[in-house]
Amino acid sequence: MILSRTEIDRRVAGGGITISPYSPAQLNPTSYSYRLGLEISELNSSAGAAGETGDAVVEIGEAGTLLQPGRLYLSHTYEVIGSRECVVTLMGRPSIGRLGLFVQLSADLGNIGDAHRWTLELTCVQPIMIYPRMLIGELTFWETNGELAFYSGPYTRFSRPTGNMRELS
Amino acid sequence: MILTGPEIIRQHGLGAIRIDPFNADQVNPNSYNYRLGRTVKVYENDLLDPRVRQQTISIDIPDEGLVLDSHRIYLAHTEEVMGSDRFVPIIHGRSSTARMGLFVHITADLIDIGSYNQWTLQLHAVQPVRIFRGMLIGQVTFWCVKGEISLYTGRYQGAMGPRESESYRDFGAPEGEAL
Repeated sequence: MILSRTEIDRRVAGGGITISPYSPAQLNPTSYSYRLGLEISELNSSAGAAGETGDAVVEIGEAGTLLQPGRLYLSHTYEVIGSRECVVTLMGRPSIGRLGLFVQLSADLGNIGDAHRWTLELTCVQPIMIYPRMLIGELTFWETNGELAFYSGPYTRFSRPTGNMRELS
Repeated sequence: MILTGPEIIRQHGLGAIRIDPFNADQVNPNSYNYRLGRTVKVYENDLLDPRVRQQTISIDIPDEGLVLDSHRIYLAHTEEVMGSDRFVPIIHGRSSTARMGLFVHITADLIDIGSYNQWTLQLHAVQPVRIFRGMLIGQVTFWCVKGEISLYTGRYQGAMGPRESESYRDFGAPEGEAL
């Protein structure tokens, strides 16, 4: 079952869901609108396959950053997000999808476990401006069935845009 | 929990799910196939800025279909008006649509509970694809909600035909305004 806004709000207050910073104004009927973080990196594939090279992380300036089609950018949520009792899925905001900006690439499912800033995979159909802290996506929260096991993989240690870590997994 | 096809038919009959027009032939084991409506919109500008209201051009899909170019985002719509006050709809492409490399939404698959519209589809073709009005283009699933329900009162309520982004309303919105 998907949690309603009342249930999300109740569980944030009770500590079962972490969203920090949290603003009840960002609650939707069955989701929470999250903001874009402050940093971005562009995957530089000129020296090898995507993810194999060190990619510089830069700040998204207040005047915005222009994204170009055909490139992949990694950014992150402004909020620290997680839950040890329900499953979080991450999507784009409808108003952002209507502008042709993907915020993840067929990897929308979070793991039950520790909270961190989530890496976003940004790619666009047409050139688009993005701004720090803009409302960019939504989170949904799902009840589980069965005994809980917690994620302990490498990505929870990171709260910055983080590239491929297959050597650790 | 996700509704089965027979439960979608039952809840439609009870009025808890609106799908108009409704055709029982379009019910799958756990989803409903929706059709592509007649109008498509594109943005006038190539460069899109979410802070700025974008101008659009409307195109009626001709009888011979419309070829989508992979470098543009196309806003289309469902032929059906759909919504529910009890279940959360989530939209998907049909597998036959996806096999042509056609996205029907851009990482925005959640429909707000209490939102009744012809839903706007965000079409993106990986390679050029020809689309036809009335084609079965996607599927909708319906999910049960945990907790007290409050219904959608947002900016796209009641939309007929494709609606362009109103993301500019997010910039400088007063605290507490419905997003």
